Amino acid sequence: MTTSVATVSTWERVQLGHAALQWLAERAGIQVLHLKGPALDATLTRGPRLSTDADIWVRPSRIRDFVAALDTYEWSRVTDFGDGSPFEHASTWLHPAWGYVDVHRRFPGMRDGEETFDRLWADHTLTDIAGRACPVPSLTAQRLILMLHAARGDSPRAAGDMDLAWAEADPEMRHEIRELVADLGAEVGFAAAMGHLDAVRDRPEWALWAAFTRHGSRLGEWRGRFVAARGCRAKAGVLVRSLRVNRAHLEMDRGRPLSRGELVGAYVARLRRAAGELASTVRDRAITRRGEQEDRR
Amino acid sequence: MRYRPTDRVAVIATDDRVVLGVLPDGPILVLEDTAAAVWDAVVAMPVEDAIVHLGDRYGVAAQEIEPHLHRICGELLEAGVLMNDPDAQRRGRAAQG
Repeated sequence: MTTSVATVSTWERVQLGHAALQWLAERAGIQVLHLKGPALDATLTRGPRLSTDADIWVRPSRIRDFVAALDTYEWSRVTDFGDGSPFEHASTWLHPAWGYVDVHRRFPGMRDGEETFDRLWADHTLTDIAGRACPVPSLTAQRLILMLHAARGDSPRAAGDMDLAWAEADPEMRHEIRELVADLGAEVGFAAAMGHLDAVRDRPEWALWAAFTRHGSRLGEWRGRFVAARGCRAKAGVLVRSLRVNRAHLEMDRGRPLSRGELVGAYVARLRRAAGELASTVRDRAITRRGEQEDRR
Repeated sequence: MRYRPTDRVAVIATDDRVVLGVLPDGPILVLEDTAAAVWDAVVAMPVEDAIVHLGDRYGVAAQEIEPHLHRICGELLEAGVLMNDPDAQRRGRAAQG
């Protein structure tokens, strides 16, 4: 018998991570849904789904309690919700034995709030991960989650996931997915997944999804975040974060803490990049406007 | 006598390998080959049957298997991933009584 962590694969650690989080959630009396990776229904995978981190969605009203519970054990926070993706949906944590986990407080593309989690929890099922019964969304919801994830375009498996989740779904299943989209206010993300984003151009979330699906600039992404933020306070928060260097991500990339000089350098580089993108946007708009004026003549 | 996994273990069992995660903070124990076979057997059947089963599987006399099985189970009990199954013991006493 050996006790070396070195002999354990990442895929095994991810499964154990799901089990550890479920154990913790049960002790704390907090509802969580396990997403993607080993939580995915077998019909939505071709072979093993070898993810490198565990994803769980915590009931939003209990997110603080869950984070406090993680703090009680050997989990350490890698990124906060605001430091992660532009959707600010998840916080990344690391455990010396179980590896990385993304703790979701919402899912990009679905309406924010308790009602969304309630709707998914209402028809959740249980799946066995590392010998523990873990709650997972229904098969219909798992298809929608795969589609919304694929729409963000940051997954190398996006095209394959769209095939499994939508192209291979029968008409009845597609109808159920569309019903769920309406229930969860997921029209914009769904339109992005289907390649019909311009049909929802009037929605506040449009600009953010457009920045993603069209691989736009960071400036476009921040503009999208600003438009999508609800209320003055949220918009002000976006503005402040847009100028801040993502220290957690830089440190994760380099595998060590940043020195003061490196941090200052990162700020300068960020401001230069923003200024460059702004100049390029202004130039592109001027060219477009000039072209439109010449067309009118 | 019968063993069962405790509530503090996550288990990934494949053909010749069992990976045990001790919850909530580790460590991870890896059982391979005969150690994995011992785990599979003792969580599936009473110890006496597990000894016979493993003896048949490896073509070895039960007396030779028994000390190895008790040593491995002792380590697993100490690690907190295996426990005596009190229900099985109660059922056994009731059957005898």
